[in-house]
Amino acid sequence: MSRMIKSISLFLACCVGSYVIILLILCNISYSNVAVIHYTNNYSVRIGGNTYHQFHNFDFNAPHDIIFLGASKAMKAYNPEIFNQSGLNTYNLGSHVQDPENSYEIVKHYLNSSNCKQIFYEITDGLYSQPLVPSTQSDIDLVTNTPGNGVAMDILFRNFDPKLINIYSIRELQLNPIAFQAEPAYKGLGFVGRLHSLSLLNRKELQTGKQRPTDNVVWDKQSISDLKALIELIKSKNIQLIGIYGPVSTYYSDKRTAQYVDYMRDIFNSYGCEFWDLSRLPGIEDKTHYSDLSHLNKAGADIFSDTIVKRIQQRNTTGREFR
Amino acid sequence: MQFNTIKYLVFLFIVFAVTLALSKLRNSRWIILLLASLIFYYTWQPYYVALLLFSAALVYSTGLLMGRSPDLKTRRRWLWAGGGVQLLILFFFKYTEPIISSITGLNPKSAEYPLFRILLPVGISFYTFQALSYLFDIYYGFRKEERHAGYFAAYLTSFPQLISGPIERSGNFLKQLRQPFVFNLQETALGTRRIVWGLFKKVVVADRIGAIVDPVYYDVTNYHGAILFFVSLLYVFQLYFDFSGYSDIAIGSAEVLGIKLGENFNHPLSSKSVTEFWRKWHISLGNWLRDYVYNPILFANKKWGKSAIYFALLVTFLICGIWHGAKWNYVIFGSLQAFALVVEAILARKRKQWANSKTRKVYLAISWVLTFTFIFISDIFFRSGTVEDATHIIQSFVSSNWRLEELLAYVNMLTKPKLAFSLMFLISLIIVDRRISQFAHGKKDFGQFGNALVSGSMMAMVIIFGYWGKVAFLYFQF
Repeated sequence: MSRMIKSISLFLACCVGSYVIILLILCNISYSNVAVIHYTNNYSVRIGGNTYHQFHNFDFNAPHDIIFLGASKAMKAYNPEIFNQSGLNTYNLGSHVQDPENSYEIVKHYLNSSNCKQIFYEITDGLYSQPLVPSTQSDIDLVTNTPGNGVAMDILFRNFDPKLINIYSIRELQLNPIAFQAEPAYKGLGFVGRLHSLSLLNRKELQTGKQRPTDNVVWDKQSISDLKALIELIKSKNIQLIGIYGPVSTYYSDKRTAQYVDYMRDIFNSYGCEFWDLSRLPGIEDKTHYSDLSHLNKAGADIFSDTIVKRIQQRNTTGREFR
Repeated sequence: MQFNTIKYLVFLFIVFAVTLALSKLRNSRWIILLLASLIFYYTWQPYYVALLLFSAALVYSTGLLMGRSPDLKTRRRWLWAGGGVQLLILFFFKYTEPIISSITGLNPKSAEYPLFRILLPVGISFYTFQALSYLFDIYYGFRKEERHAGYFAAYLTSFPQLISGPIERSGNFLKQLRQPFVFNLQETALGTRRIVWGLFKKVVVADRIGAIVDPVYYDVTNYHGAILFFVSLLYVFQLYFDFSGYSDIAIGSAEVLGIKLGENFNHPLSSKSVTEFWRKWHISLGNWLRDYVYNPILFANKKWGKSAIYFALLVTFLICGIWHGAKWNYVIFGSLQAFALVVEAILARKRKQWANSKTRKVYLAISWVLTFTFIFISDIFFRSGTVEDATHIIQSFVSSNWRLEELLAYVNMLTKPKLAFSLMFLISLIIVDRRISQFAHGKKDFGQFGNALVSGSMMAMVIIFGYWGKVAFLYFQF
């Protein structure tokens, strides 16, 4: 038995040693100003994009009236500048394919009742129903770009996947980490506002309805349970929560959207939280206010943000809740 | 549970630990293996566990009935009955859908398709051939029937080779399973080495090449000469490293559990003839076809002389092609193999004369080039979705429309450093394949520290450079 333990230990020591040496070298040698490690694999991402700036510029000690959370639909729909003009202090922490599990980590490690009074949680089609959009890219994005080790470690241990082990190691072994990539549409305060409207290809897809999501929603039990865990966590932190189903193009049928809204409203209401259905907002047009079939462009985001500001002001004066 | 996942490695470790912990208990070995195999299969397709158990029960009882039969005639009847039902199951799941869709012209995935969608049970082609080998062995009197249902079920469902082989004979396997498990550090270490080596071939090399090959093969009509030649050449290596990597993991897993499986590959791409290639490529299938198809046909028609050989080759390799799937490109693939083997059989004497002459080196070089070219061409039929795609590729080689700029554009799209890494791994693997294989087989020893260093650094490279994701092994589709 002792021989076996000795052999296994030797094997593991050699494995870990080689792993660290190889990564250390590849993380710190550059080609065209980019560490060589990023050329070796398909999933290895460079520090940067909007997520790096979004999380590193977030003031964890400042009191925020509203934090926007959710996937890219949130990141591209809520323009904090519009909110802040009306005297609110808001910030957008939505990121690509941020599923409820990842939102959970963000709330757990970064938000509390003193830096966040209220969370607006955006519901995105595809993150709660089959076929589920995999969150791998979001995991990698957050492990690479979020400050502190909490979120990265939790995502790593939750998935325990070789990809994430590598990404986490790269994060730790880069001696001079620099944010490489810049997201040109990043407008600050966590908001990404694209200026263009639907491409010709998108318009064609909208017309033909090719690959349009089906009318009937098949719920993914695990994601729904993750959403409930997120709501409970937010409530346990004494942060107010509002669920929102923001604008979607007509690529998503009315029937499908109504199913999403009804189901989500029931969940949020069952926890005593408001749920706002803003899926079909007057003044938002497919051709002019979307940058693709699923995301608002800056013009659309501004209209949408303005609508919410008015809603908040109306609520503050009337005291009426919106269900 | 794919072999190339952490889940599988953890699963294997647990099975090993339980086997070791309960090794003193009588009969524990088959129980653990059977349970582990059913859990393993359950993670793939829960509803087909029943089908797997049904097949095991069917073949086990057929074996018993054959064993109790007084004469060859009755044995043959039971063989036809039991083996026939097992073949019908295979036929139903594997061939019904392609046949109906080719008759009706409808895509099985479309809403207008008249039947429900038939999901292929994973590993059915492999365990059916394994089951048939057991029945044939009893029929020919090579072995006695297995009386213990548990041992038999553990053999047929054994998880290391259940999904994609090697197609293991019952005699060798059951003899080892009946022995009590005795922990042997050397064997466990060798098994681990094989697994690491298999993972390296699969996730570091084959999947990387796959990322270059697959987008082009997805729609070959968009591409021309140079690029199609480049990716088809890469595919030869992708297929070899993918499947031999799988076999290494399967053999290594079994070895960790104290069971030695037969080898499935022996550096087939260095073969100097197609005959040699089939002795070194998918050895367990080749042996199966030789023993249960080729030899019986040859024996039954021996009075035909050499024609019997040609006929037996043709039938054997047509079956080999169809075994891979009910598609015309597999039929052509099998026919090409048969044609090449017949030509080699006809030219055997002349080749031998040249091989023994002074220009032996020239002979070997030419033979290798011809054999590799043949493998390259026949693999195009193997990989292509349709015969039209394959003929488009081959036609594009002979046309003057090579479009080197298209290849350069594709290389640019892949980003040069990434492509360079993939090619670097491929070329390094081709160079060191034989040496590292010897190490993985335990034929090369670097001392305790050296062995740990080679295995450990190989594992580190697997983790760092692996193309991790849901990339299935190519032979899982069969």
